Amino acid sequence: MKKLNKLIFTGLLIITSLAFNSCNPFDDVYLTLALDLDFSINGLLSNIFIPAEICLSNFDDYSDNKDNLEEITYISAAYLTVLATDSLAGDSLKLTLYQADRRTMLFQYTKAKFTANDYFNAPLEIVLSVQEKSNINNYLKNPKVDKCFYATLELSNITFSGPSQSYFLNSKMQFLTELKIKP
Amino acid sequence: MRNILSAVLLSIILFSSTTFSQIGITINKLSPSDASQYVKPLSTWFGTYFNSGTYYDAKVPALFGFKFNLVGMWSLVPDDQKTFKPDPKISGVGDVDPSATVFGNKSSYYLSSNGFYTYPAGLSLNAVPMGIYQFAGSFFNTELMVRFFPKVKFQDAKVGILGFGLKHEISSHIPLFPVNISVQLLYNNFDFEFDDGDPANYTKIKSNNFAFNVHASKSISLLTVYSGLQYESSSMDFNYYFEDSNNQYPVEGNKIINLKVDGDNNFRFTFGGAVKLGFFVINADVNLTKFTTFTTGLSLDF
Repeated sequence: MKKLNKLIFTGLLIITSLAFNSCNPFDDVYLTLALDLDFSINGLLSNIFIPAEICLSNFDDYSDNKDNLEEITYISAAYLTVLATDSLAGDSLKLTLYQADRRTMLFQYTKAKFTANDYFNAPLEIVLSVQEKSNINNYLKNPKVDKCFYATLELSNITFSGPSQSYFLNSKMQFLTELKIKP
Repeated sequence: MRNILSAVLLSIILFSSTTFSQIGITINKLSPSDASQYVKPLSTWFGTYFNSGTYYDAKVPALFGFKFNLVGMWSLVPDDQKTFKPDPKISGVGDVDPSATVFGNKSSYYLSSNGFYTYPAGLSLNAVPMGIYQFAGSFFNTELMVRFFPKVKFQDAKVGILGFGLKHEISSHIPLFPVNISVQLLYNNFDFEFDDGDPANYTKIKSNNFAFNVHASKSISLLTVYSGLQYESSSMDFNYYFEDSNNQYPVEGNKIINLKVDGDNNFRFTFGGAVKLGFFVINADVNLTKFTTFTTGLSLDF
């Protein structure tokens, strides 16, 4: 009986110890992070070229978890107009995203016959090719190293209505990423 | 409200984890219907936690008895408690992929009129370790169990626990009955409030948990085996500040919202064993319920 008691006691101790010390209750975390690139201009010219720049380290979700990041992957992207002159339009909208070196292109998206206010409260989802997604994901490898992006918005042959001789456009491009964080 | 929900669990789990502090949880931007679904598993877990570890023997002394128990628990978080189906109730937003609940790990998103809306991730827990202490005194085959942690203020947070259990050995009325059988009523309350003066950070969680069980035990020498069937219910009042920066919810937005969230607790089956070594008792059991829970206990029993 003494041996049995000893065995039960030891078993309970082992189970308790395993449960509270060895089992890791945490799983990987997958956070979605939307990166905003803001484009603003007050202009007179018939063509627009607006640059914008952003780095992952601008976002708390990245900075706070940088040391435990395992992977960052691209999910989706969208363009939306925040505020624009009435009937501001152009022949084509061209959105281009580059690596931080401003030369290596990650994707270029063109929308023919662009009217800014069509995308006010109605974002334009940017559909990328497999190759373009792959370009972004390759650039996002080694997530512990901060990555910056350079983006441009181009609009040609601008027309608009209203009494003013100038126009304005406040808009943004968002691209959504997923951060895989180890516990 | 960043990190506040983490702090709730932290304050009651009483162990630190860098994961909680790093990831945190920001649920202010969740609409009330989504927030309700997001925290529902927390309500269920409270019901599981507070209704665990309440017995290891159906025998209640005929004269006088006293117990002090330290109970450790390990609750497995099932997959269906890790995600919920978002319903943002915004026109033009279609089907949204399942997103993490408070225990989940993968957040979802949708494209709204203002751009991408991203849901928060959860605490990414596969299991929740937890402990509790309790006292019990018995007289005439009836036992009163008490769990008490006075409402204490930790900086801007207040937390308190109060629980009671009343148990009676019904087999004491049946002479020479081969096993001990008892019935037990349980009520436990958990109260957490965070208020730093900024309404945007206000959080209140009040969890009420009720259970009724019938359990039986049989002692052979130092070993006691026990089993029980329990009905249980839980509900949680959850108050948070709903931040609606895009004014998509004109009635509910930008104010403190009160939600009443019922847990998914119904029945549980418990099976376990205890070893009595003088005044000391060591026990372990498994509880088959929404969150399968393993408990171990160390008790002073005389």
